[in-house]
Amino acid sequence: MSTLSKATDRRAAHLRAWLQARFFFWLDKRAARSESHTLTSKNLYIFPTQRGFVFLGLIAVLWLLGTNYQNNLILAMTFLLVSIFIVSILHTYANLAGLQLNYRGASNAHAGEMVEFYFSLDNPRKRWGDGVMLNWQDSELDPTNAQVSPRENLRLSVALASHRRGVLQPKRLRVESFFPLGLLRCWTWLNFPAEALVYPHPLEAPLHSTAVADEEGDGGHPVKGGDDFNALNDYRPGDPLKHVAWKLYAKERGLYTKEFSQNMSREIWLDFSQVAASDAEKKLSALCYWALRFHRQDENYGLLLPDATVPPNKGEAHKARVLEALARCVL
Amino acid sequence: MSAEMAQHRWVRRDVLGWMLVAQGVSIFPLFFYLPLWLPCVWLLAMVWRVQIFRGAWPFPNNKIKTVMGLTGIAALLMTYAGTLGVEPLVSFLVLSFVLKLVEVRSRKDVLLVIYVGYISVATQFLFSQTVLISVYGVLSVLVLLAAWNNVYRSDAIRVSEQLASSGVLLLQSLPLMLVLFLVLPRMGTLWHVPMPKSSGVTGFSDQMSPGDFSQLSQSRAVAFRVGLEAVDAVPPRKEWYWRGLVLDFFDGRVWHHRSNAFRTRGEGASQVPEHWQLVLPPQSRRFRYTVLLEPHQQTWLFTLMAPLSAQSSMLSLQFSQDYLLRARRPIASRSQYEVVSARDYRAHPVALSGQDARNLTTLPPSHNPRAQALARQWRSEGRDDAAMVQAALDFYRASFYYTLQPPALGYHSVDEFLFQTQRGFCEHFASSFVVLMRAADIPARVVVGYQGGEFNVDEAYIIVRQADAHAWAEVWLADEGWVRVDPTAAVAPSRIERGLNESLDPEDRVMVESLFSGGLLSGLQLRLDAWSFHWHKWVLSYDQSAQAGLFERLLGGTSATRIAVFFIATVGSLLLLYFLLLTWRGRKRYRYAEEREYQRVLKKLARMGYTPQADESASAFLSRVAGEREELAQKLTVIANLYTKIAYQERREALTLLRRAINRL
Repeated sequence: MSTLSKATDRRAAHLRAWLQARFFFWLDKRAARSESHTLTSKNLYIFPTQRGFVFLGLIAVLWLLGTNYQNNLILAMTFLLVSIFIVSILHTYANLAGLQLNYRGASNAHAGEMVEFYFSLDNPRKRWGDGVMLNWQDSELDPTNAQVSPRENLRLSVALASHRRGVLQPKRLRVESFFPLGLLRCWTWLNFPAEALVYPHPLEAPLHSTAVADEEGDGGHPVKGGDDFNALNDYRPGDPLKHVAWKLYAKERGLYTKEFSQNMSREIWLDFSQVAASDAEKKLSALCYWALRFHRQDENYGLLLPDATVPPNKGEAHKARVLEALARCVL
Repeated sequence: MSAEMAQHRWVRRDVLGWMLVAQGVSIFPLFFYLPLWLPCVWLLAMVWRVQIFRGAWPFPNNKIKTVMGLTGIAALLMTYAGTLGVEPLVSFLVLSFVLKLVEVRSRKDVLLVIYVGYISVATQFLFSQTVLISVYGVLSVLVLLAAWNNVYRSDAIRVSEQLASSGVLLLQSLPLMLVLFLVLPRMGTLWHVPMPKSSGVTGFSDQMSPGDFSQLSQSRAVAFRVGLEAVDAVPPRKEWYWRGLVLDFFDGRVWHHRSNAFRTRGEGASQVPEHWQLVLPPQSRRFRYTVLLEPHQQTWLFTLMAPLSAQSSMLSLQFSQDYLLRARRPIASRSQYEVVSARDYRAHPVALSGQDARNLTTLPPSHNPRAQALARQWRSEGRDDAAMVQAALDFYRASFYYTLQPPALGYHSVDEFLFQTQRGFCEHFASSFVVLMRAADIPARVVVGYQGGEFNVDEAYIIVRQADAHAWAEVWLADEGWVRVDPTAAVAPSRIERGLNESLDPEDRVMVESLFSGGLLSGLQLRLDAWSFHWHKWVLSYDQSAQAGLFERLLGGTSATRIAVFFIATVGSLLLLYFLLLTWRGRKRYRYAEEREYQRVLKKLARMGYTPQADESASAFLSRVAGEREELAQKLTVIANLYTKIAYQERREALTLLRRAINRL
């Protein structure tokens, strides 16, 4: 009995998966991938919810009550509820129709963290848009809930959990709403060219070769970085904040970065082949850990990967480059 | 995991508030019909839920819930002594509804409460169907809608805004409801259902014992309304004897009716059979009237003498040999029937059968010997039947008077009334009169029904109230047949001509006047009653035949295609109108100034043949055009930069620069 029902369940699940695949195949042909989508009758779907069907059952009960008691007021009430159901179809549709959703970019994250994808929800209508729920296909997170007032442009983000390092390309975005009465669900699936970099999850692991000796022997020439004050340079974005000449800034003489020098040259190479870790992903995680650590220590560090090389440098921009290389690394 | 979390997430404060209000509004009218302890339970549940929300009290655990449920059911069983009817069922519904409140946690629970709220509103109409309660019902639906709608909002909005947006939904639904109400076919009762007790006010019972005080004679409750068609043919007020029931068997104290008098006739329409010997003169005037009867849980219906035919779409009717009209089933809901009566007639002028004559002159010898002796004495003085009637009326006129508070009567109730107390109301007079007649071998019987009524001149209909309940006599005279005699009229003629109030002693009048309102208020009351009359006639009594009549008048026919076309056209045009209203965007207005300026650029470029593709951003479009038109490139780049600056870096001060740049384009 139970094996039979299990088999039936499995078959039903298969059927559902097949139907969904067919549906998405059909859907993707209709709606191209785009940065911006307008919700219209072409891409909105509407169907009663489970609660909607329960409501229809309630209407049937009231109709029986009114008919059996030959009570015109109960019948009138029954018809009123039917009318509310019908009118709410229009309201549910009109709540979403005309809204415009534009993709604005994504935050980057380490594997296991949440990636935020940014959108702007444009409401050019003179109606409110309420109870708008946005979520990525197959996402296990709660949907983003939005309420957008008339002629307003709302910025919002839809999160997606990142499980694996790499480039995260979410599937379709589901926009749905049960507003106003939850009797019907109006929804659509949208394809955005959304993409986010997922860096490795930092993992501490021993790094065999940390410092590489300067090729010019004893390292007589000063290199940037270190503890000794050397010169004042114009501030460039990415310079470490602790090196900003705040006193000068306070005197309104502009933003400068103090340059320090260090007699010992330390050029660190984070080498993929030198990491002691069980598998390749773990190695990348370890490299990520060290990259972040050296960045914090304001060291010069470079990255050596099987398919990419980032020469030693430091600062925020460099860190971003290194992390991107780690994220995009194809093994 | 996350789905379960979502299920049990706390409901918002405003959702909870709306739900509490909506529940209170939807069950409030029911409290008038249900046991008094239910509102107390409701108050307790509400306080508990609010305390839970404030974190002061916990949710009840399973043990407490079981105890609460069982206590409630026990209280119901005790209140209703285990009977099954509408009130116990509705009480049970309300009880579970109220107890559910305490354990509302999730959105699903809130929805359940709101759904049950709709059922509560509907059950109100089982108990009362006035205009007022209907308006209240619509308001309840509005509040329920607001509470319901609020559940699905991402965030709370102001109460007035919430009511307004639900009001729009309701207002759009009402015309649609009207169409459905008018057009959708009606069905008869599918199975027998218990009726609420409180809706049926029995006019009077099928027996009468003068000596019991009649509470009903003071009630202002409407017994029935009579819509008149040809007003000129209507007899004067003193002829308005609405016959309901004939009581023809007397056991000495109590009058009963023999139940074998009814003969079944065909369904639906009914006519008095010819062999029942109603003799109509050649120019007998007839009038047609519609009676709208309040439910009285009895089968008898009211007509004026002499009814010729009757018909009703809701009732199955039959006539009796006593010229009474009866429904086959007790009148449990407001019903309507139409009667044609003749004003001039003679009823049964041919001799009664021996059995009938014996039955109608029978008196128990053990009771009322003095009355019987008096009648025999009059007879021995050589009076004929007509003179006997006159003698009895003269006897009353001499020393009797009319009061609503007569003294109690003993074993020989008629004797005591006739020779000792000599004070009473219609029942006393009718009963004693019939006893006197029978003692003189004149076939006689008591008729109960209503006498008089209030004439609403503007609307041409008569309201008959419970206070108009009356009893009179009918005697059978050779050659004339059945003749109506009202001994009460001999004592208090104003009771018949002007109504109960006029005929009373000052003392009685004080008692009654608190119920009757005079002057201005009375006019207002008549106006209100007119409303109520139309409400009953057009809304509550709207049925298959009314539907057919409406189609006939509106569409000129009742064929299915005609109705379907009408239905689809009205519903379709309503929905189209709503759709246009809902998706109408209004004039394009821009929230931001730079957006307006950008539209000017678009216009200028459109003249040169450049239009942005769908989803092309402003800067992308401008740089594309700049790439294609060398001479414009510089200007367009400036515009694009300024636009970006204003739109994305909030540099409002650059707006004039943008305007100038666009003007130069």
